[in-house]
Amino acid sequence: MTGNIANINGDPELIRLFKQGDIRGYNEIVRKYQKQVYWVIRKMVLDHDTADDITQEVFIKVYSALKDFREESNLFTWLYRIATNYSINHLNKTKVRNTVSVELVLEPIESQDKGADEEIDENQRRKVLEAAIETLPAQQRAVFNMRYYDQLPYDEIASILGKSTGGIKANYFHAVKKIGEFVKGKIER
Amino acid sequence: MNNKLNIEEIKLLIPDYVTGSLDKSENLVIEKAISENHEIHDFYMEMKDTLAYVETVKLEEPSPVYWNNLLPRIHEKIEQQQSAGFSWEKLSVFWKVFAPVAAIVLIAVLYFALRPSDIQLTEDKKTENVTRDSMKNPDSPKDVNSNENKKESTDRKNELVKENPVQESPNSVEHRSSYYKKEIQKDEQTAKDVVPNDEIREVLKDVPKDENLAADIEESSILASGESAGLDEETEAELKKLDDKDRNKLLEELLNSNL
Repeated sequence: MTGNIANINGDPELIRLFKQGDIRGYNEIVRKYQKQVYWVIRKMVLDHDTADDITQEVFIKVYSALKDFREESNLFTWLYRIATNYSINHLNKTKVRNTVSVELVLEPIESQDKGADEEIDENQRRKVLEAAIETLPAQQRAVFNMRYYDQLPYDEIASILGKSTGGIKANYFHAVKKIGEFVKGKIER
Repeated sequence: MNNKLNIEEIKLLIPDYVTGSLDKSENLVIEKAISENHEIHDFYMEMKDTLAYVETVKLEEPSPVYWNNLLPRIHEKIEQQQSAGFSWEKLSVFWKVFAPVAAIVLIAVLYFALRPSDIQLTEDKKTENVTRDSMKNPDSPKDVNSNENKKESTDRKNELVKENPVQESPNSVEHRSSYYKKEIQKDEQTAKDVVPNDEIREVLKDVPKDENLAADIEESSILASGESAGLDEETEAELKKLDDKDRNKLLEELLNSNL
């Protein structure tokens, strides 16, 4: 999966261009950060089509809000915050549907009697992991993605989600533990 | 880093230890705990397996075409929203004009709906006119409101009662006499003014202008005829037998009893 925070070089210039009415500033921002924003969302919602819709919504929001962006934080942190919040909102709205989809995902995996990791192909591994991630509450999922995949410091995650650092550490610990228990349960069947 | 972290605090750091996200001092504490404590060791192994599993899973990458088309599709959506926003603006202008007009029309409709109709107004006016007429002329037709007529007649009766109060004093006959005198004088005056006929004046001259005339009329009106006075023959005969004092007393009683 794609990781790490992008460099912020050139962002103030792009923002200035856009604020002056030059659409090229906005276009360059989209090109520069589209993959990172997409993957932040994709790792949260797991489904490509949903990730695509939310990515577009995020950049539309950026288009309307960038003129008021005060540059107190760097541009990618701002984009990251918007993407994460949009994803969490989406997950909270579709909570019931996600629960159903977990059950559906598990069916073909349960038919496997072979317990060893090596005997499960990549597609099945992905399904198990997606099912495990889907069991996490939206905030734990966001913390897991930010910490494990994007390697953000705890205080930055806390800042993005508006929570305490201690709470974020506990969220990450519980997320990893739950995923482990879920995966272990599926493989041992 | 405090070396005296409890088991739960060390467990909390193990996922970061597995991914190599801790600093050197933290790593030393965790390594020591793993080597000394079986529970922590087992937990570390679980976390290691879990994160190794997660590491091996790759989500399917979108095609390169997707990244090339994303920006144009975003612009398309922005334009759609802007055009939709323009429509709303247009709609708001429409409402700016329509809202006051709609309010005026609504007020007008409510006014005409709640206002009394012309027919009802005419009927009310008719009633009012007839009532006014009947007050002026008591002999007006009785096709008006009967309650109003009753009230009116009651008022007139009260007026008459005020003009002719029934007194309980023994001088009541004298009072009536003076009243009749006044009435006769009025009639004479009216006759003078209204009837210029000489013959009638001649007749009026023959009418005696005695002071006791009123009393006589009063008395005679009662005693003239038993039927006209509402008395039977026996009562009439008894009245004639009585002296003046008793008769006056009896008459007074009769008058007071409205016979």
